[in-house]
Amino acid sequence: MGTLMNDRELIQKILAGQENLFKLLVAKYKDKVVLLIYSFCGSGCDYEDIAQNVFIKVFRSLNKFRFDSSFSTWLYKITINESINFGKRKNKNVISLNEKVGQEEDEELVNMLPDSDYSTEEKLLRQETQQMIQKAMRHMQDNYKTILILKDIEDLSYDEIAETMGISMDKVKIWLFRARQQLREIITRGNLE
Amino acid sequence: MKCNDMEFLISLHTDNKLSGGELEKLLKHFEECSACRQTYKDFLRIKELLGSQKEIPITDSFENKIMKILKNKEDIRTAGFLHAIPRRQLFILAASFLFIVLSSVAYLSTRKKTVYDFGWYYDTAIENTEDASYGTSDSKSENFFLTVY
Repeated sequence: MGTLMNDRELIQKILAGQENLFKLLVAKYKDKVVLLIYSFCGSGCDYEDIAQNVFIKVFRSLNKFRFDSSFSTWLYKITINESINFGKRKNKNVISLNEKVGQEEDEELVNMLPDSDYSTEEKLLRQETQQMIQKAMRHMQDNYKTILILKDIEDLSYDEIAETMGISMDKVKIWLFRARQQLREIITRGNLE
Repeated sequence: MKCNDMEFLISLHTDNKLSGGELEKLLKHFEECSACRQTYKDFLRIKELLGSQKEIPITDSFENKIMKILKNKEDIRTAGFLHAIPRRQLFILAASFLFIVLSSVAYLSTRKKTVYDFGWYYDTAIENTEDASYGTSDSKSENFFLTVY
């Protein structure tokens, strides 16, 4: 029943007293929220805990949601803020590009690599590059990192990005270009290729 | 056109957002510039690598965990009713409720006073009936009503 309902109907029912339907919203968006947090904070953070905080925050402020934007956009905004705040608290931005990734972190990063038909060598190379990109992203400015994650990881459209980040379409294009340029520079500087 | 001007278009091309004249211009530039071709390749590679991240493992009962936390914090109870009401309306509701309560108290105290007043009439009525020897009824209340009305 719940899966056939759109977000608006679901939220209206939750606000009308059917709070248990919130579970359906969580189930629908948990993977995207967790991926977003993971992309932001890396494997060093307890992404599930942060996701938990995000959903609790969403539930508490659900009555403030005015349906001016899509629910997913609003949810992404809260997730991004929570991830940035977590980053600030943990002060993760001072990690060197040359630092060695811990064993635990290595394993986690390997776990998130895509299952594909690549050869073992290709897989290893891919894993290595992906790890480097993850590390390089930690050195990026928050706004550039956010836009890159929203576009290339979450696969949002330019319109959705503009709405989520509260910026103009032109700015989306410019920031995306600068973000890619910055990431490329960081990778090159770190002799990643 | 210079490479600096092209790089912005390269980023747009990475997302397939170029069409018509701009795309033609860029493709023509690619033919002459290996550096920009390389930039395009790098942007595509970054996009592909970031996009290929698969779902992050998460506890199966994640949503149940959230609901449990919310229930424990009694958020559900408040969010369902009072929490859903905007603060301004909640204030009006509380003020109305207070007004009703105060009005009821005021009304009840007035009513009590009326009963006391009737008590005076009642005593007077009894005295009058005793003097005038109205009717044959022994009931004080009957005499009272006879006197008052």
